[in-house]
Amino acid sequence: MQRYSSAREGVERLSEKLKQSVDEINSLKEKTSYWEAQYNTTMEEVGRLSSIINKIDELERESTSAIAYYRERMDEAIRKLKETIEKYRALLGDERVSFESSTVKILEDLKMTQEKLQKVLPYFPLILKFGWKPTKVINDKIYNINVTFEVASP
Amino acid sequence: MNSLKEVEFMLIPVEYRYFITKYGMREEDYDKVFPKEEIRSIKIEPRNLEREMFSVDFGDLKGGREYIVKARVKDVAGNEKFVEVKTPYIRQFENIAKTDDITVAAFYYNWYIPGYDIPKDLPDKPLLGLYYSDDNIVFSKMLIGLRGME
Repeated sequence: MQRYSSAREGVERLSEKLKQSVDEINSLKEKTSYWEAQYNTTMEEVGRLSSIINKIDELERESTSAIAYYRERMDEAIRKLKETIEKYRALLGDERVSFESSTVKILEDLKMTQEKLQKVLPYFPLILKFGWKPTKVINDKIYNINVTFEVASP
Repeated sequence: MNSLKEVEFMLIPVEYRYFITKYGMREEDYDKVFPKEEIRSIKIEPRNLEREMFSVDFGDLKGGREYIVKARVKDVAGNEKFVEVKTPYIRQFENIAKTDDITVAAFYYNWYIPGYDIPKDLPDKPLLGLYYSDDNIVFSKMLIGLRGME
C-alpha cells in the first residue's frame, strides 16, 4: 500500500510538471505567432520600400534620360520630362517628384533665356564704354594715353 | 555659352601716303613729316566674367599725326567685335610758345585749294608737296607748327 501511495505521488508530480510544460509550450506558441506576424509585417514594409526605391531609380533613370535628350531637342525633352513626372506623381506623391518638377521649371526658364540669348547673340561680345584719355601732357604735347573699355560676354 | 577668349588693344599710327601720290611729296621726306612709328598691340588674358573692364597705357607717342585706337575682342564661339576711334591730331613737339612771354605775330595765308591749278614749275617746292590748303592734316601741321617747332 505504501508503495502504491508513493508511486501515485510520483505520477501526480510528473503530471503537474507536464501541465507546466504544456502551459510553457502554449505561451511559446503565442510568442512565436506574434513574432511571425511581426516578421510578416516587416517583410511587407520591406517589399513596399523596395518597390518605392525601384520606382525612384526608374524615375531618376527616365528623368536623366529626358534631361540628356533635352540637349538635343529641348521642347520635346521638357514634354517628356513632364509626362514622366505625372506618371510617377500618382505612384509616389508630390514630394517624391519635387526635384524633377523643379528641374522642369529650370529647363523652361533656360529655354526662354536661350531664346532671348539667340536674339541678342549676334551683338556679343559687346564692347561698352570704349574711350581713351591723355595721361601725360607737357606743353600741349600728349606723350601717354590710357585706353579703357568694358566687355559683356554671356 | 560664349566666354571671352581674346582681348586686344591696338594703337595704330595713321599714315598719309597720299601726300606722296597726290601732292608729290618726296618719298625720302615722308618720315621727316610723319615720324616713323610702329603699330602697337597689347593682348590681355580675359578672366571670363560676364562683364569685365580692361585698361591699358600707351606711352611715348611720337606724334605729328593722328592715331587709331582700336579694341578687338573674340569669344570661344569665334564671334569677333571691334571698335575704333581716331584721335585728333597729336602734335610732335611741345608748344614752346607757352614757355616764355615773347609774342610773335604772323600772317597765315591759304595756298591753293581744289579747283585751282598749282604751278608745277615752282623753283622751290614745299616739304609737304604741292598740297591743298583745305587738307586738315596740312592745316594741323602748319597752325600747330606755328606754335611749336613742327
